[in-house]
Amino acid sequence: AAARTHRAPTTAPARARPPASAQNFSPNAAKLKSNDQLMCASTLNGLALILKELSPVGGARPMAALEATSFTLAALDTATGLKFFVVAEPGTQGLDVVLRAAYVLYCDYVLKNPFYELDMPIHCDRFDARLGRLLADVPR
Amino acid sequence: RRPRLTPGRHRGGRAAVPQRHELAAMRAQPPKGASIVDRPLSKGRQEVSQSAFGYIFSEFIQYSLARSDTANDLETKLEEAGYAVGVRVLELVSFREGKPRRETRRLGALQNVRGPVWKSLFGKQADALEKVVDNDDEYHIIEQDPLVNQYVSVPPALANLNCAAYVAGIIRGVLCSGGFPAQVSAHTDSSPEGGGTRTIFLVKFAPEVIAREQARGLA
Repeated sequence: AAARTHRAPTTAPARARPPASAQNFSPNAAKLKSNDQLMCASTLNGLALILKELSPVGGARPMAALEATSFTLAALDTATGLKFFVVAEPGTQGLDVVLRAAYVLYCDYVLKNPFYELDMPIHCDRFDARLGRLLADVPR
Repeated sequence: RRPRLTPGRHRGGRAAVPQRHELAAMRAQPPKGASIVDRPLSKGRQEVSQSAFGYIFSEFIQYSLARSDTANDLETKLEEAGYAVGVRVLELVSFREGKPRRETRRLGALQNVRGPVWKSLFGKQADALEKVVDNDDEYHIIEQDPLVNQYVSVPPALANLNCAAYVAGIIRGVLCSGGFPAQVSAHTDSSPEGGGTRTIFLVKFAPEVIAREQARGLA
């Protein structure tokens, strides 16, 4: 499966912090420059917020998945206001599990890294290595 | 009219002599002046949360980093902190091991570090203990993936920093307080088989240790 992962940390509801890391894990994923990745993540963040307000049923939870003909997008909202996005080939299953595992990896290898400053782009090689291994195991 | 007193009660209500239940309660408490060092030394819980250690260690590195100028400075601070730990670890491990004799040879001291000390700290023995061929006083303790570095990703700007300097300090504390003055430093092994995480602790004994053992004919 082609999976491209964005991370867009944000506080609820209005102010969005810039995305901390966006990586491509497949040769099929669109090659975005870092600026485009920033825009993409901000758009997705705004979209998620709008969808939450738009729900005709009260008490809706935030956006979890977006399915289109050419891709599947899954999102994870954390209790701390962090958002994880993953874009994959259409029909990929188990993306929410992947996102939760990615969240655990973030908590371990980014937050416990003494050289990481909050809200800065993530450049932790242990995190990248583990994430690569996680996404290599995603079922096709 | 004078109020009638019930038998057995003094005027004013409360007895002046401590009652039997009060005496028992006083005996159950530790005597005044007892502190934590009077209690018996327990076996201790065998495990500590690695996450908790990760957070504290991370904060300690950030604290030291803010007060250091160079990577070497930071390593020195970590090593000093480890030394204090090493001195205490040797006492504790020796007590819990229950061995009647202390180590008198440098190889024995190193085996002690590699085995019981490492096991009590990290739950396993150190991966390898080697002697450096060229020098008589240098040894390598090799650890494939030091536990303290589990969550630490060193940025490229500080490429020659290894936070296992803390463990190097612990080793130095164990050796020096055991009577084997030595210098210990942590080096990242950049060879591909190490996977980027292999750490070599270089132990260099002081000349008096070598001279002492040679004089006793133990070279």
